[in-house]
Amino acid sequence: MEKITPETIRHTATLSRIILSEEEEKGMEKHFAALLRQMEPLDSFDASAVPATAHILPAVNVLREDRAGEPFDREKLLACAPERDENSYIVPRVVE
Amino acid sequence: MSDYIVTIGLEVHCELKTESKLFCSCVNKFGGEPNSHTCPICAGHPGVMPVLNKKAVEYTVKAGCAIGSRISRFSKWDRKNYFYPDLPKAWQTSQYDLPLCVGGEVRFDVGGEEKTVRLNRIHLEEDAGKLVHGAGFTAVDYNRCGVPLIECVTEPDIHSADEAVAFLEELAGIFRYCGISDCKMQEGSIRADVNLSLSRPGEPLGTRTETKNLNSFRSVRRAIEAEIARQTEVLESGGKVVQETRHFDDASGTGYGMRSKEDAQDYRYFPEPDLMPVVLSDADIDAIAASLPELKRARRARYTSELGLSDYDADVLTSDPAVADLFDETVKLGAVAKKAANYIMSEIMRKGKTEGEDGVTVGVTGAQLSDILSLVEKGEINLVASKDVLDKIWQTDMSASEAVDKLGLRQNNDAGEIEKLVRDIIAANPGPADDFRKGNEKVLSFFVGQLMKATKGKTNPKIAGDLVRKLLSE
Repeated sequence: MEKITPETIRHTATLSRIILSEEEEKGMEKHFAALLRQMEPLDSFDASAVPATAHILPAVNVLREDRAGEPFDREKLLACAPERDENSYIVPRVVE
Repeated sequence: MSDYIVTIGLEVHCELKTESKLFCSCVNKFGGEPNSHTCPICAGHPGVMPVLNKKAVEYTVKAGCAIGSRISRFSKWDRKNYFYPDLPKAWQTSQYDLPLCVGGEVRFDVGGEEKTVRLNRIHLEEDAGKLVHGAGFTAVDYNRCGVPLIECVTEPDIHSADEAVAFLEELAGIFRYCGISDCKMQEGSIRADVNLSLSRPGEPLGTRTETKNLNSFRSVRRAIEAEIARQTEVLESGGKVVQETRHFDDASGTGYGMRSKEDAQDYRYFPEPDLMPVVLSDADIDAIAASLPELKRARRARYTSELGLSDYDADVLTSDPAVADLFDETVKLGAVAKKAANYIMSEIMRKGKTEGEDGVTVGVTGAQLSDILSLVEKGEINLVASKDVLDKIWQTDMSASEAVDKLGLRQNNDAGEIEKLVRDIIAANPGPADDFRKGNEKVLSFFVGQLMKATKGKTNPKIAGDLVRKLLSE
């Protein structure tokens, strides 16, 4: 089992766009390690003969016909946005 | 300088022309007011459930069949996680380890030589929204978000900008013929990412850079040329190429590196729990493969070898599948191949082409066109008059013969009637008639002109010329 290091925590936090204090990082490290320990017993299970699971349900081919439906009320969607103009979502400028 | 080997791999994104989006029933249509083609599913609201579009799967398999991919009997969906406002869910639903199509190849000609580029895979995924950057803010339009997109990944088999562009043209042609995508550059329905590295002969491949989101063949060419020049300069001055994602600025013609964190490429793919895997039987795949039309390359070869057209004519006619279909239909109905080709390349393509657009609108059927050509052939109308006929029947179901009658264009080929007219004209112009008899050939056109005037241009010019000559020589 891979060891949880402060680097793993920082990397994961960056990818998740979460800022952690030093103290929180330490707490997370312990928390992650505990989670992995819980999973450890699985390592002793021989899964070599078990095919990879793509989905936990047995269903396949859940498809719909290609037909366009009635348009949804745009206003209802835009109303959920923290910031908007008349017809677009407004976010902080993402390019320099 | 030139002793570097250029190695290029492309990732080509191509929007499928389905009626609806990949996971919801919003219309798949370019343009429209911002966010007018969106719903809670494609706008990424929590708790919604996507349902896969059957047609999009079919089209992807069709693309794979067209380039000889191995079609997966079992494929699945994955989440590709990244934070960027063009994807409201913060992940793109895509295919990671089990794509619909694996392998395949595209053959094309470049500089007179045949070249093969191998494909690594084609997978199906959703397109992202459009961002419009303003002063201090970015406006987001999700109309394009969720549009079905295929990503075609090549092996690093391309070695120049010419090869890259020729490959893209061939691939776009294949997809247009399959009817799965319009591949309209100006609407961004086909876009490419360029992975490029330089190496010395005999040495392992150099560090590559990836230039993203090139949306015209011209940009692809320019971006490749600029990146070859840049990497050459870095290496020649003793530096090292840094692995990075770059953008190409069309206006300035230069690329620039994106200041992204190293972690940015860590997409943490994991299986999509909201979508079931797709299982295809041999029968499913055979049925899709059987629906493939004769593709561009095969038609081009047939036009030159069987119909005796020039390479140029064959290229022009096959540039658009609708044009090639018209040509085939017209020839099948008895038109002479070269004449049909000439008429299509001049009149039909002139009339059907809109400035700034890729495709050609074909406003006549093969039956209508073969009718026009046979009327011209039989001398019932001349080529000039045929343009009026074409205008009249364009995008209608009127036959060419009917249009000729409606326009009163049928040429007067009644020799007896014409002969009388010619005799009258000669009698009225004894001077010029004498000149002709004395050997002045030029006067002939004067008499033909008089006859045309008298018949309002409805006389077959060849018949007129022969008759005037005969009667003047009596």
